[in-house]
Amino acid sequence: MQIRINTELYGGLFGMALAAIFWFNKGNMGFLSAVFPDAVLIILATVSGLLILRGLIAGEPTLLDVSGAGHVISGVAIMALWWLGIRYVGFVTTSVPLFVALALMMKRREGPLSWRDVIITVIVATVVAGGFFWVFTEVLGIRPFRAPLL
Amino acid sequence: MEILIAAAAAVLQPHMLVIILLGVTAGLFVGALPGLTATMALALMLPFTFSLEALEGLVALGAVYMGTIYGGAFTAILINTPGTPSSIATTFDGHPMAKQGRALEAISVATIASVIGGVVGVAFLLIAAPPLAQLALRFGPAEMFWVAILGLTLIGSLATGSLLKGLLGGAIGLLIGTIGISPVGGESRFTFGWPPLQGGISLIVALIGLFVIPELLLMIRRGHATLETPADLGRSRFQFGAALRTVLAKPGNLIRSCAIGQVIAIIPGAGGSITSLVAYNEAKRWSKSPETFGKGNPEGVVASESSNNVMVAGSMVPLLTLGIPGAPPDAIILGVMLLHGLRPGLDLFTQTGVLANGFIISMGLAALMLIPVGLLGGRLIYKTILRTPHYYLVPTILIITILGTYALRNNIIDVALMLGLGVVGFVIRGLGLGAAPIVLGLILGTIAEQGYVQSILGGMALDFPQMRLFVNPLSQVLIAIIVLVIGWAAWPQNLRRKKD
Amino acid sequence: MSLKSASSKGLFVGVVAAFAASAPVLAQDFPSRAIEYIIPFDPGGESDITARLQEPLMQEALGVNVNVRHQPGGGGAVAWSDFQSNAEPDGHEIIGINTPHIVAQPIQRADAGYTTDGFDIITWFHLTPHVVVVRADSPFETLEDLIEFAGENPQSLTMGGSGTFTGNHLETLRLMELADIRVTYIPFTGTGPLPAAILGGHVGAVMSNATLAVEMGDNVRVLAVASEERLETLPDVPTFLELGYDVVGGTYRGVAVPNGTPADRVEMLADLFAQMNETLGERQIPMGYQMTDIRGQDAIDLMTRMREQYGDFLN
Repeated sequence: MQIRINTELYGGLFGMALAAIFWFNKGNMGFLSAVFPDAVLIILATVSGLLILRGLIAGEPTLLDVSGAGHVISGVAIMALWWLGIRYVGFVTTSVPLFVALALMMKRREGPLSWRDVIITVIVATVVAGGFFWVFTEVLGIRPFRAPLL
Repeated sequence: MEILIAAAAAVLQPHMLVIILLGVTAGLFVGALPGLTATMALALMLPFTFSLEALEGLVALGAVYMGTIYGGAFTAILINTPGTPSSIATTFDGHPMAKQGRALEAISVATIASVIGGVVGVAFLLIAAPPLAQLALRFGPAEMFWVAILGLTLIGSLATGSLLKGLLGGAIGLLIGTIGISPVGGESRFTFGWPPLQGGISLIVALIGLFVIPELLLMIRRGHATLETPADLGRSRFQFGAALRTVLAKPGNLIRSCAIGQVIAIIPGAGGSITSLVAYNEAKRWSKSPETFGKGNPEGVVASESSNNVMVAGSMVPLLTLGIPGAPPDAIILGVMLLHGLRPGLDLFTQTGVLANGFIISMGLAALMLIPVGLLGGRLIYKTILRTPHYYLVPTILIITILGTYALRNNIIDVALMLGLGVVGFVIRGLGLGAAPIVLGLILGTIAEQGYVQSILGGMALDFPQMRLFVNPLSQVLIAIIVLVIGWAAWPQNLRRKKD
Repeated sequence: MSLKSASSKGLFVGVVAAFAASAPVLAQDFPSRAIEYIIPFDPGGESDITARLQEPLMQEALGVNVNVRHQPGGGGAVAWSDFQSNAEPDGHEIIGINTPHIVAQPIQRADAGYTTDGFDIITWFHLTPHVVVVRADSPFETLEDLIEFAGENPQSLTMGGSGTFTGNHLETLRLMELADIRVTYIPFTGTGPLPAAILGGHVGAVMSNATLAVEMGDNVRVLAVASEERLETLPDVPTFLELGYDVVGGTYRGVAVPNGTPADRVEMLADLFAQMNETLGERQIPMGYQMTDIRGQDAIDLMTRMREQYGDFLN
């Protein structure tokens, strides 16, 4: 599926919104801290403004391929769950099921899943998640995650 | 000369060669993992070096450093993900080559370029350290400001498509860089009332987020891998001879890239992150067919990889002669030197000459060892990535990036920032905002800000403090270069050429 | 056998032997697992190198792994705020602390995320006194020259240092107040860029730590040191006190645990750090460090004194 979108207009709006968010959260800064961000915000707002103008006047809608958007949203959701799981549950306990979920979600598009696929994926997930966790904690010495489980 | 021979004899010992081999190999794999940087690899090795002799310790650190910078090329080529900031430019042509089924050729080209760069850097260090050190000292706050501005002109060529969008990306990068403690003012800003943001958004976090996560989401969306499988994997060879010819066919590109790498390496604080970008940009500018860049032109890989490996030894110039760490990993090497009672300075080359020169020579050896280690390691990594089904590859890379980002500062918040930036990066990529200008803005923002504010402070006694930015001769030279660069790009003929 | 007798025996038979001897004795209920030693700065700095030197000695003495981890960001604040809100108060998690950072940041920032009193300080184990350094060919032969010039030319003398609201900065402000002069303080990111700033003539002078002065050797002239007495490694450099300015200060480094950690464990760790100082001192005193052991009420008094000395500059 493809949609037509005026990328210049939306890019400009994105930049403008970002500039606004930062502008209203400047708080009380001394000259030494404020001079550079102020300059950057002015540049950002100017460039965004020009983009918006160009988008409105001479904007040609670009064709954007958005097929598979559902898959992307699922992928983003899995990433969000992954972070929450690592923070509040445990690294391996989170990574194995989410690895399996993501892998099977992608594999399913190639054809129906068999039980064998599921079992193999679980094994792969356990080896990969456990293996890298071991390497990072034991060999590379990262600090353990502050989560209740492994 | 006697010192050099004695130094070479001290390094050409079997156990030294083993240390170098192990160091390069370890560095290579660390560098290939997104999130693991040279700084981190060296920091992990610190306690280990305490138990070694001074020379052995330094040799080990030098070898790992060389290996990490080189290892970044693999992921850059194979999964469009710079393993370290210094290999961003390698993705531009290395990954398109891989997509065309020329991954091994790209790896060979990168390897040869890295080796040449590494050896050239060592040669510079042995021959020209004192004058280069004097040049390094000329870069004060005002000069650094202009260096940053010069760096920002790279946006013109990094922007894919419209220049305005490139500028927008650059400005967003500059803005992201202002989050956290202001480098000169010392106040915390844009933390939105959230203490963890005092640490700012680290370059590597943004790098991984903006490069890796969109690539993964792309694979999830398409449902297949982005890497093309060559027709006959079993027979695809290193193409070492062909790669060597490719690299040597354009000596001008090679020489220019090495020179750029060396000059940027000695500018304190500019770091290795932009060397490869500058070299790439110049390769494209001087090429007769700039339109082939970004589509799998090996010259781009040569420029990026030769310049960033010059930087490894190159940044030792200010370090060994003046005690100025040019890039973050150098700070660790300086720490080790001081602990062993070695004080940076020209005396280092005479009084403790065997040690200093031995260290330098060992880096040359480390560069040479990249050939066997790199080609074998590269083939191993390539085959692993190619043979892993994409539905296992994506979650595996995700796990590595999560762990790597966490390992960076032992900070779980960084992981959230990385994933968040990645998702935003994926969306705005659809709007034509690429990752490279944003990352460039992030790298240069701090340098520009420091240079600007420090210059103004230094000019407080003048009527117009801003004049401080313009008075030094080197500043004026830099301004002239900036004008030339912008003028060149805006010249009507060149504009037309770009459009073609 | 108590730790005290272990350490006095250690003095007799050599420090390392004492570590080995005390190991089985200490292996009662603490430590029962690996010690996490957080360094809130980047690798390669003085805090990091010191911790890396302590790491093997601690492992030997305690009989468990000691893991030095970096959690840099926000001038240390990221790690300190994470530590105060999450660390277990059982002695297995310790964190490097620095002055004046942990005093200054909570006063000066609205969102530092931690409090100075939120730590139980094990000990301040060393100090790098401040020094005023100029390039070897500088016209300023003595501190008096520098102060005279700065008095006649307000703001035109630039003085570099590491960061804003750091020890270097606050000490410069204090010197300005006491000598009634106005110099322009230029903050750099950390100590790393300072050698280039001096040697390249980008600043007129530098307020830094004694370690930098030692490191730079003959390339620079050290005008004064902010210690109580002259340093062994810089015997020709007068103290500020000798020259008539009450400037005594430097960067203290130490270790802390979260509030509520059992006192006997804090005490034991403090003894261990003091003991390790004897070995570390052999390497670090010639580099410009002063080994200290400031703990308990003394450690709290030190911070109270800092608040009085520098508090005005922070608001």
